[in-house]
Amino acid sequence: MTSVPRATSQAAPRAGADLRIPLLYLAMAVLLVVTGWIMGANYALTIVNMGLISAIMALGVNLQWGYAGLFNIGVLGFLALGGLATVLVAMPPVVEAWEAGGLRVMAGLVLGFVTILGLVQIWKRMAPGRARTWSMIVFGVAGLLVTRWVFDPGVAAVEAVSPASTGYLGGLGLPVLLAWPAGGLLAAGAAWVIGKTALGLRSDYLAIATLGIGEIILAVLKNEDWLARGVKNVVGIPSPVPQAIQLQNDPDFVARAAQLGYDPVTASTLWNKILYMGLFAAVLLVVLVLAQLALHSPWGRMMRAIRDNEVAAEAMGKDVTRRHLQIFVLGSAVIGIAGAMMVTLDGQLTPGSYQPLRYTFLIWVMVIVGGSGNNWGAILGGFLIWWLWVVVEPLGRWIFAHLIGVLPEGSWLAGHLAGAEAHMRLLTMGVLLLLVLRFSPRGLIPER
Amino acid sequence: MIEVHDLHKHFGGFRAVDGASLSIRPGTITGLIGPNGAGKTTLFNVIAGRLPPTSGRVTMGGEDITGLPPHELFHKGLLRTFQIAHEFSSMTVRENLMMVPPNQSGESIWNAWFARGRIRQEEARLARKADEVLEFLTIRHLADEKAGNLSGGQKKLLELGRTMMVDARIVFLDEVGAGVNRTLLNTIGDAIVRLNRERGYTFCVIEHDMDFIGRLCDPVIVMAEGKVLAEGPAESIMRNEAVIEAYLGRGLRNKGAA
Ligand SMILES: Nc1ncnc2c1ncn2[C@@H]1O[C@H](COP(=O)(O)OP(=O)(O)O)[C@@H](O)[C@H]1O
Ligand SMILES: [Mg+2]
Repeated sequence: MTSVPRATSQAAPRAGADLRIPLLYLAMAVLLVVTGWIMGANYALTIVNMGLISAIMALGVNLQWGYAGLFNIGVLGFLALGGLATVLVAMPPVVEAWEAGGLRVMAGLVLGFVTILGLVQIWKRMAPGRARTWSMIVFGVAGLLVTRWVFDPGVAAVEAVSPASTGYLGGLGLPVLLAWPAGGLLAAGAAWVIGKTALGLRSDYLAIATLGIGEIILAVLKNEDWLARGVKNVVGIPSPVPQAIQLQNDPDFVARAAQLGYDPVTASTLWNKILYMGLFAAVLLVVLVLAQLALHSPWGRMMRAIRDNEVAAEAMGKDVTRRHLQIFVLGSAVIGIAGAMMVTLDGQLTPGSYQPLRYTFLIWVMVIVGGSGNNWGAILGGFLIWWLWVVVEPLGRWIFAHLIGVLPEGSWLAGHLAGAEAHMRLLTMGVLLLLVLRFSPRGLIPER
Repeated sequence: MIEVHDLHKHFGGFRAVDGASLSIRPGTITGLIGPNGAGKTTLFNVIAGRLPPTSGRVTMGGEDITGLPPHELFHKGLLRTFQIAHEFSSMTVRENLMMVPPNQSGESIWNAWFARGRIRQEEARLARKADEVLEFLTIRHLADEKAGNLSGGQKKLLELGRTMMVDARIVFLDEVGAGVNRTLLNTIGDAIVRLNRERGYTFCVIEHDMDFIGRLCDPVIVMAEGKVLAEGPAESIMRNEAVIEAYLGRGLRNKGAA
C-alpha cells in the first residue's frame, strides 16, 4: 500500500530529469551561438571542435570512474600515447635515419624487451632466495649493458640526421585517420600492462600506478628524440581534411564561396573547421552509441553491480579483476583516440604542452561537473568546461579592465587585479568545482 | 559436502579461527552458533574464499577448494550471504536478482553491441525468473524499488533471493535474522526449508535466535573462541553444559541459552 504514494512522488522528478538533459544541452548551444555572435564564427567553431574532443575524453574517464569506480589520474599519459600514434602512423618515414641507425634502435628495443621477459621468467621459475636475487641482478645488468651497447649508437646516429628538421625515425606514412584507432590501441595496450599489475590490488594502487605511468610516458616522449623528436616537436602532421590554404587555391571553392557572399579566406577557414567538426562529431556519436548500448545491457548491469559492491559481485560469480581490466582498457582506448584526434587537429605533437592541470585535472572536472556515471553528463561537461576554459581569460580581462577603469589611478586594488588576471582559469575551475560539489554533488546530469 | 580440516585464521597474533574442524553433510540445514566474536563470520569468509586461511584445508565433495576466489566457488555451486547486507544499492531489486545467473550472453560486451535480439530473449526469461523468486519471498511488490531503499530485513530476503536465481549446491547464510522482525524471520525460515526440500539446497546458517535454530537446524555446531565446541541435534546442544557456559560465562545475554 505504501508503495503507491511513493511511486507517484518518484514520477515527478523523473519527468523533470527528462526535460533537464535537453534544456541543459539547449543552454550549452545558446552559449556557443552567443559566443560565435560576439567573437565570430571561427572562434566558436574552434571551441566546438576542441569541445567534441573533450567530450570524448570525458566519456573515456567516465567509463572508468563513473561506471567502474576506477581512479585514473594519468589521463594525460594516455592522451599523449594517442598523440604519439598520430606521428608514428601519419608522418613519412625518415629513410636516412632508418639507414643510419634504425636497425640498431629496433634491435635495442627487442633486446630490452627480452631482458625484461628473462627477468620475469627467472622470478617465476627459480625458488625465492639468494640464488634468485643474484641471478636476476647478473642477468639484469648484463641485459642492460648489451641493450645499451646496441641501442645507444643507433640512437646517436638517428638523432644526428639533420636534427633541425628530422633527427627521428619518422612514421609509417599512412593516412592520418588510421592514427585514431591506432592511438586507441596504443593507449589500450599501455592500460592493459598497468591494469595487469595494479588491478586486483587495493584500489589506490591503480591511482598511483596511472599517475606514475602517465609521467613516465611523458618523460619518454620528451627525452627520446629518435622516437618523436622530443621537445623539438613534430610539426606538419598531415590533415585528414583539406586545409584552408589548399581551399583558397581551389578555384571551384573560391567561386562557390563568392556565390554565398564569403571572401575566400573566411570561407576556407570556416569550411576546414566544419569538416573537422563533422569527423569529430561522427567519432563522438560512435563512441556514445557503443557506450550506451554496452551500459544498458547485462554487461552494464554487471559493471554497476561491481561498482556498487565488489565483494558481493565477486560472491555472485563475477570475476571483478578481469572486468575491471576490461573497462580500464576500454576507457583508456577512448582517451587514446581523443588524444590522436587532438594532435591531428593541431597538426603537431608538442610533448612540452602536456600539463597535468590541463590534461588530467580538467578532464576530471568535466566528468564531475557534468555528472559521473552518465554519458550525457560527461559530454555536456566536456563542452561546458572547455568553453569556460577558453572564454574565461578574455572575459576576465574584459571585466578587470572595466573594474580597473573605475578604480582610482594607482590604487592598490587595481594593481592587484591586473596581477590576478593570469590565475582566472584555475580560480574559475576551482570555484565551479566547489559550487557543483556543494549544490549538485552528483553533477549537472546525475546518474539517474 | 563441505569438510573443514584444522582451519586457522589469524589476524596478527589474534586467532579468530583456531583449529576448527567440522563437516556439513549434504542435504542438511546445519546451524552454526556461538557467542559474538567466536569466529563464525571469519570461518565463512575463509570457506567462501573471501580470506586466505593461515593454515588448514577446505574440501567440497572431496575436491580441495582451499583459497579459491569467491567467483570460482560460485561456479562450483557455493553461495553465501553476508552478515551486513551487501545489496547492489543503486540497482532495482529485480536487477539485483537478474545479475546473478552466470554466463549470460549479454555479459559479453561484443554481444551487447551485436546480438541485441538474443539478449532481449534472455532478459525476458531472467526477469520472469526474478519475479518468481520475489513472489516466493513475498516481496514481489518491491521489484522496481532501488535495493538501497529496502529495510534491513528486506535486504536479507533479497540476499537469500539472489541464491535462488541459480541451482546452488550449498548456501552459507550469515545471521539471516539480524534486524529482521518476527514475521519476516518466519518467512525466511519457511523459504529455507522449502529450498532445502524442493531444490535440495544444503544450508549452513549462522543465527542467534535459538527458536529459529531449534526449528530449522539439524545438526547444530557450536563455536567459541575460534574452535568447535560441540556438535549435535539442537535439543541436546541447548542442554550442553559447555555451550551454556560459553554463552553465559562471558556474560552475554541470550534468550535461547538461558
Ligand atoms: N579483518 C579482521 N582483522 C582483525 N580482526 C578481525 C578481522 N575480522 C574479524 N576479526 C576478529 O575476529 C574475531 C571473530 O570475528 P567474527 O568471525 O566476526 O565473529 P562472529 O561472526 O562469530 O561474531 C573477532 O574478535 C573480530 O574482532
Ligand atoms: Mg559474525
